[in-house]
Amino acid sequence: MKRFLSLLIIMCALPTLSGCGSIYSNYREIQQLMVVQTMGIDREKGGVQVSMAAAAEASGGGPRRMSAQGSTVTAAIDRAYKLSYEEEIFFSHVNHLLVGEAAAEEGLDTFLDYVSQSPTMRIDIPLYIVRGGTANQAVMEVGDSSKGISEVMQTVHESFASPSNSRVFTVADTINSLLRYGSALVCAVECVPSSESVSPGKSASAQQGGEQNAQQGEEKNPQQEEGQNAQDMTQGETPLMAVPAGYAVIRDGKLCKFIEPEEAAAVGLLTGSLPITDITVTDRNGKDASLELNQGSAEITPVWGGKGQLKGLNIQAQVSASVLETDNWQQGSSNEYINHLTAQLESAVSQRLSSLLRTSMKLKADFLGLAGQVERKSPENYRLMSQRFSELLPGLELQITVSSQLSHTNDMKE
Amino acid sequence: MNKPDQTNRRSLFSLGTLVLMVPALRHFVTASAKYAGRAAWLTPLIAALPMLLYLHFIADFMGCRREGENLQELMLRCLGPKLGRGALALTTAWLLLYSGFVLRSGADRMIITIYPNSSPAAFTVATGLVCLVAALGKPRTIIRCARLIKPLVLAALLLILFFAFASVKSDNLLPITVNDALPAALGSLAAVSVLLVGVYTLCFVEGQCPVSPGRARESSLWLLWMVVLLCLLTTAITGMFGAELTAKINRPFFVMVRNLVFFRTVERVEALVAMLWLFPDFLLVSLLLWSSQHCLRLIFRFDPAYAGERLLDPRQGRWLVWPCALAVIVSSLLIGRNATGLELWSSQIIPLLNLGFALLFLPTVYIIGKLKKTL
Repeated sequence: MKRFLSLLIIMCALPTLSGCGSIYSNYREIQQLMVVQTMGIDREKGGVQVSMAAAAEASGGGPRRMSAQGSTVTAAIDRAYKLSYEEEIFFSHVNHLLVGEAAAEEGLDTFLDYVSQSPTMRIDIPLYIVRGGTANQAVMEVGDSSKGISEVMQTVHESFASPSNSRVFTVADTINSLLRYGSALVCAVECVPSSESVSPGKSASAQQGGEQNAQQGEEKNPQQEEGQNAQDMTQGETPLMAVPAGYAVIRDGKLCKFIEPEEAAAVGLLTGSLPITDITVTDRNGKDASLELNQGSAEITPVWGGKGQLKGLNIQAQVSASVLETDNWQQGSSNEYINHLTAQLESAVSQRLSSLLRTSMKLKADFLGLAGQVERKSPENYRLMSQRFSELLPGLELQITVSSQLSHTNDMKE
Repeated sequence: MNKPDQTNRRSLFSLGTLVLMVPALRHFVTASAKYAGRAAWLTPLIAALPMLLYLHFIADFMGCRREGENLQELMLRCLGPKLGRGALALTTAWLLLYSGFVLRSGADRMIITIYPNSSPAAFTVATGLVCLVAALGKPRTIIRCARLIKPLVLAALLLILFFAFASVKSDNLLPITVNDALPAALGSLAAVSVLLVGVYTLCFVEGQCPVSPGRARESSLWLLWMVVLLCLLTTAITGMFGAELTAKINRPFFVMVRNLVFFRTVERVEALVAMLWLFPDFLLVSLLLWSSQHCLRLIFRFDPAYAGERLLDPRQGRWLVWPCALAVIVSSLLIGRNATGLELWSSQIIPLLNLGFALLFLPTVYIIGKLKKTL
């Protein structure tokens, strides 16, 4: 009984020890907190610009956003906090981290280090590079009065990561890959005009919601900047949208190239997470046919010239696809037609794999983690290699074999 | 067992399990990953063999004790009055220093996980005072306290590990080749250092247990369970983050807890878990504080045997616990005044002193005792 009572007392005492302060004087309603869900980082005039956005409020108010500059990420956040109306900025639920293209070109190391050492942020936050733009633009301008960047990024996240195959690279993945292979792959997004336009009513409410926005620069007057972005969104103007824009290749901590979205299938095959992707091929009559890749894998076998002498890589890919759209539905069920499409599919996949691998070889960047796959196949030989894998990459011979299967053509037969 | 100041070996091992949790979550996983890389998860298994040998040495040493004798009395008997007092003084210094470090390290954990930018002094002083109260009482209370808290701490740990295993990637753990043997052996020193703390600190209160056979067998089984626990811990952390990242981050266990989502609804429970680890801190510091005042009472020729004294009774040298507590708190305030300093203490000074005390000092005492035929 004594033991049971003691355990009960201990368990009751635990919630009060959590440090949340929920039963003490610093109790705050959730409305009083700005729960940052998306954070953007840019380099600005030798310093850092941090932009933050919360989700849209259930009461109908627009998403709260703010940005500030400082010499470091911490200094910028402190500045944002001092100059904002928010009682508390809460970073524990940051779900997306965006880095501007220019900042990524200068180097991600500082930002990655900040997240990995942060006492509040999680290390498995998905990381994105804003292609052709700044993170500030994405955080402050994407969305309308009812949806902000946080909601939009949730959609982007889902389009990058299918339920079975997560291909969104987190901060932890990126650091790990950089430490292990010297390069990493990060998802890229770009800001483009939305297909929806803002209605006059919505525009007005956007302006109201935007009153919370505060863009504080060290040399700027916060009051002048306040609400500027909301005012810019005039009646009838097309709002910005963030969309997936392929992948960014990070080598030695710096952005060095983008991989086009069309190569997502090849990235998926080589990293073991093939997304459901559409591929357009040419049918027997020279017309376009849409195929949907739904399954696939690639096996990488190293070719050794001797102990520790890597000569090349043998890549054997297997994919299965279904036909989505074709002009020749009458011939669709014929074996010749299917065989032709299959051959076209194999050729297309092979071409994409080859193109992606050539990029990796040209950049001397093992962003696909090929070294890890080679090591798993022949650990002893791998350890005997005299040079780093990335150094050997340009001289490797590639042999790519693709076998495919069109698994579902019912829509054509009916 | 019926005497008010006696306990049993099972309770003692409960205390051992909990005190071992303190260094296990501090530097062990980081150090293992740093030296052994991908083979970090094997380091506890490699450490098992030397630790079993050491355990048999300790069992042999403690087998020479008489009823009611702790390691302190045994050391005094081995080395004689003069040398014995010198050895006890050295032991006291190490125990007080280690207690101070544990307090400081615990405060650092609180600052990193829950209260960023806080001063460590508040945490070290508060915990130190609570430990003082425990050290003023009977050691049996500390041991019984461990018996009560152990299920809670282990349940939390195993639950966390269960969920963490869902995120383990085999690429982070394999392949392992013969070439990993040397790094893994080097990394296993960290595991040895952790297990040693659990093994020898118990000897300072073993006088609370009646002398009975089977110590070596029972403690070997306990040690193997601890090895499994450490193995699960390193596998979960390095399997989730990879050895390279694990070696880079501070307190990877709590970073792992921060990342976990339970049943897709509960997350960010690291504050609760960090608070839970206050109990092992409290038990270890209380145990070391009680042991150090016991050493001092022997040095000053007081009778340290418990005779039903009240908590604040200063007779029979019981007042010595106060300066000991003061020394612990002061040392905790002086140790690692910045992050770099604390890292140096955590990764080098304390593990080296710990290894030196357990693997050089105690065997030397034993050998001298055997040579002088005082054992």
